[in-house]
Amino acid sequence: MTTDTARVDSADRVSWGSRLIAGIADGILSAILMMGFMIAYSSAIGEGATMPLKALGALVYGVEALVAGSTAMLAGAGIQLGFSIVLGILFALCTSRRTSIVAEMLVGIVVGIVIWVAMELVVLPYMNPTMAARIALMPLAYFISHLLFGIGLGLTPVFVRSFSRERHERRRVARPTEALPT
Amino acid sequence: MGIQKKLKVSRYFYVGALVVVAIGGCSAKRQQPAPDANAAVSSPAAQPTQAAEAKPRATHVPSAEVSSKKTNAAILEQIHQANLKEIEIGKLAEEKASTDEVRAYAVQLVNDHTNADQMVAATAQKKGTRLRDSAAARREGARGKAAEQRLSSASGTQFDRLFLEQSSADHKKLISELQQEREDATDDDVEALIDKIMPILQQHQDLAQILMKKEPA
Repeated sequence: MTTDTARVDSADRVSWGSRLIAGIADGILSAILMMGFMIAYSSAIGEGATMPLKALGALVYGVEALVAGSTAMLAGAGIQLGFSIVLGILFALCTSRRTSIVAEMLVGIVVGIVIWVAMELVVLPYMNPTMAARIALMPLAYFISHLLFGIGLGLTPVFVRSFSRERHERRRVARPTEALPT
Repeated sequence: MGIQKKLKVSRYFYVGALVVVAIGGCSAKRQQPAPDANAAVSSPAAQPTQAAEAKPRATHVPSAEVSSKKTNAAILEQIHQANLKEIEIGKLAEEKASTDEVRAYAVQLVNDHTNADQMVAATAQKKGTRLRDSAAARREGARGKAAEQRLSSASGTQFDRLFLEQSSADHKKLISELQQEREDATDDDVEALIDKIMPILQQHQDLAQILMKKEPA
């Protein structure tokens, strides 16, 4: 029995490479979900589609980000993507093939809310007042974007399963008794 | 074992859902006093101004100087007129600015003041206040007209400098007046409106000063 469990665990193990790729993919998806929503909302209320990226870019350029054009927007996109990918990788490292998507999504949403609180209390008022002034015009959308970010992080198990499937299948073909315990 | 696991997951789900609903509720409640940005979009600034054009108004007309205690209607009118002026010179600068940065500033100015004006219009509508349009205000403001003429006749870097100086001076004056009026304001909606637009005005002033330093003397 112990041997069987060990064989199943071995088949469920996900390589570091697969986790890394899954984390990066999930980070990019989370960033797109969050930033896509903010861009759409900002555009709808007349703030301009580029405002969320410029506001993030203000972390580097200060208030000049509002007139700095594409460089500030690139900086904003880089900050968002970088942060999302790091969190995506952290989530992927803590995820196995068996992790429940519902549980992971709840953890993701809680993490999203924690980030929102940290942004509201520390980052916006002390590190990026330019962004704080812009976010004050769309507070609810900003909160919802963090929930979407959390939902994106919650999809990590899907990516982990997807990116480790090939290896998993290979193992099953090579040693069927390992993958299918009797 | 399977049932226990399902129960455990369900428990996590309900606890998580409760947390999300509670925090979402707090966030929604926090933005209630101020007019929502969506509401601003749905009530364009032009609506009340057109109505005001048709029928002369008997309400208090804001003076250029800071009055000790302005009515809420006068404060809204003052912000509205400032918005119209900045939109007008911003549009002029979009066409005439000689550098990309000054043009970007002009675009930002037009966008922000258009949004701010929609918020003012939404607040005015809520309070039953009528706002005048720019044509009515221009008939009275000879000083504003002179400044506009100076801008219209300038070109190149001279225009950029004049535009930035004008914008910086306008914002400085408006910020100091609104700071005083924020203290005197008796209405929560007007206070919330000032709180929302004040940081944006401050950004405009900061940007104008930064760009002026970059401009060749």
